Amino acid sequence: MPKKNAFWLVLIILFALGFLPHWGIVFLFIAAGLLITVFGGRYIANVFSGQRTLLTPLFQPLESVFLRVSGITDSNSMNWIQYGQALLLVNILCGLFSAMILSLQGDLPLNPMHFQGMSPWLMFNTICSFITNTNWQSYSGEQTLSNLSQMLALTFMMLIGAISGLCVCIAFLRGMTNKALGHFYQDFVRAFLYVFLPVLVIGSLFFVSQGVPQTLHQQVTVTTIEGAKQQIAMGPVASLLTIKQFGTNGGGFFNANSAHPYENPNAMTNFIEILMELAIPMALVRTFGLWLADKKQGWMIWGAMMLLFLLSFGVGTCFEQIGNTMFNHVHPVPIDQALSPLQSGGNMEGKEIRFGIIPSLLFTTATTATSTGAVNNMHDSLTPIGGLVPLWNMMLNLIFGGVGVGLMGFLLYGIIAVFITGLMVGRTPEIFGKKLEKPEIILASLAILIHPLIILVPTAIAAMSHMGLSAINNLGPHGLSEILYAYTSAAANNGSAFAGLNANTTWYNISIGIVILLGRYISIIALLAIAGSLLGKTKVEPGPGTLQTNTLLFITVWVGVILVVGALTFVPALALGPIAEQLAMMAGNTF
Amino acid sequence: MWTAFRFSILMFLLGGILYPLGITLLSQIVFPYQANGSLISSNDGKVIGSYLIGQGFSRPDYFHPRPSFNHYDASNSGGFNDGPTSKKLVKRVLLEAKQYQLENPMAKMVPMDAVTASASGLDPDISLANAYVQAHRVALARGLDDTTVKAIINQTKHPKPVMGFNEPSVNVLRLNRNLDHYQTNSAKGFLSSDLKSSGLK
Repeated sequence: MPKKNAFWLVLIILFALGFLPHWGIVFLFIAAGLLITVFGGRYIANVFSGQRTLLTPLFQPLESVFLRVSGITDSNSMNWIQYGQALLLVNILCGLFSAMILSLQGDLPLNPMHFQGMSPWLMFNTICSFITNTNWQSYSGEQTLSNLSQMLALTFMMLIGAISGLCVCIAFLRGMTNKALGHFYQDFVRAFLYVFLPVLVIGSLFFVSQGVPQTLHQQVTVTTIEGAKQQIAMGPVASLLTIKQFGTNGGGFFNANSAHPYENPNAMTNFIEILMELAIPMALVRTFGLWLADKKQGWMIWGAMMLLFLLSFGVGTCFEQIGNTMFNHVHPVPIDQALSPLQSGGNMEGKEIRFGIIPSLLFTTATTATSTGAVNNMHDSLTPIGGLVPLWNMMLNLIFGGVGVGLMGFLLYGIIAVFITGLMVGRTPEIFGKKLEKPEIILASLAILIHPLIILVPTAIAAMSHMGLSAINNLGPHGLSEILYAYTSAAANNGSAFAGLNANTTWYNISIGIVILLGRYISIIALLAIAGSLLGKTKVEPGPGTLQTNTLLFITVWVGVILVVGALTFVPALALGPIAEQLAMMAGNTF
Repeated sequence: MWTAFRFSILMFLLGGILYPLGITLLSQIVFPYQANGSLISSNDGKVIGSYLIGQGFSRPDYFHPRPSFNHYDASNSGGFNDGPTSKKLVKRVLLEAKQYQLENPMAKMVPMDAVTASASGLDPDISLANAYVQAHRVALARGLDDTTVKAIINQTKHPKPVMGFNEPSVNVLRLNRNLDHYQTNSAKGFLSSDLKSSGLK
């Protein structure tokens, strides 16, 4: 059977399986993911190699106008140092603009609630967090920010952070596939016009049509049926929501993020939000395969990522559906957690009825597999193993991953895997036709080791000190999980939280801000350097002794290296946190 | 440096100002109802809330929503964030269960959603299991029979789950409004025939 027909057949089967009760949505999700990967991957590849796309006639004139207005005349490829410099400069400048708006908020217009400017350390934390695509929030949106700040500072930084990630990944992929790195500003404008703008406009309007507000009013007071006054906060939510999801940013308009009915009104918006998080990360895997002229390699990586994704999701869902075993023996009237045609059952603490268990966990897995960090349920209230799943995803930080950085993380482990297998069989390691030598291995090791370092060290400090412990909301192993989750989320540039932790303290604002910066820029710079260094080497034609990286065998080794190197470091911490708590819960111990 | 500055200003104008304001303008023209929060008014024109945002009900003749961290204050969303082994959680859930049982003495079991708080504190829905348990109390308080109230639930509930979309649930505000409508209308001999044909068992 031709490959094309096989693809459509698989899609039809997945779609049909979508009608299965309860689990159907998972098959539908895989089908949609496949479609996005195939078409989105080709589209991104075309956009960034300057080929004609459907939108070229519309956007090409705009692209040159934007570049000319900014005073950019040449579009020759930069080297990795120039590329990195331009990226850092734009990030710093945009961060400074936003800092101005956040601190002057009290004196700026569109602030009917008279919110004051942010305090310096909270602002430091917020700027670090939003410009790096993390979107950790130590504040509550509807209680702290005016509509002006939500638009000019936050929506803006989300856009910059996401596009920056995409640009770095595109440059890295070009380096890996033997192309010139490219021109930062040109890539940036193209990413904005061709990739982000169409999705943002259509997506925002879709969300508004489903009930997400988009208004400059900040609050409405209504009188409920029983006569009580209800203050309803709203604002330009849809425009922020769309970039939040599509750019894998995750910082919510409201404190409850995508659990708020205005930020996620129904099951359909929930599904679309999940797909938006994964769209670019999934598509980039195929872009990579196309540029490498080795589609099989792309699909192998995609398959491995999807497998890791479904594994996380499956484990989490099972434990959530079983529910909180504490409530299994309540007398005289039992509490019913069983799945039935009348209820979704399971652990409904911190979850919304309209999402139930399975779509909630699909969201949780997607938001932590990618670096989004939006939540549609409260991760702090997940069952212990249910809460281990998001932690695990963020510790790996490469199951599709954030816009751009996820695939780079996966390829980084590819370099290590090639190196290790090279050592085992006594050959010079090569990846994608490029010899790997000392500088690449040192840079890759640095980028990998920094991740556990900036998670575990601050966690240990916080867990031993009053300033760390005074902020936790839950005692026992769960308290440790709260701290561990905070730094994992910061290092992975995720931004979701075990939100019981009161992180708006000087210690957490500063330490988390620093972890976020290290987590983002050290690995980005190391990866650009690797790309630059690989680009300088001549391509070696594959011979009979070349290690094939696109085989099932090698992908297995690859995932094995990810699990051993990437995950084993964290097992002791996980044993003290979620695993200890699960055992305590089964024994009926409370803290 | 100068280039980066000009470029950042340009992106600021496009992404920070033009994008959100443009979307606001478009939404206000194309979907004015949704863009302003899907607010609904009573018959006398007063704004009474939004079907999307849950509101508190405590009178026995109304269906009650789930417990809420913020008591349905829609200017301060959020959940309790109590961990699964937290003493606070266990105490709260058992207390809620006791209360639920007092309000609905006929209940043979307490649905999980009736005693746990939602993530936003603004959950507009309850599970069907929860609604059916409360139906008896509501019917009693309104002087209706159980079957009528259950029929109104069935008319109001969200469509059956297909492909994992929709959970078995009903919107509390909509349900309570439908109850009120039914009683004002049935005084005029209206709607009762509709109810009999609504697939009620």
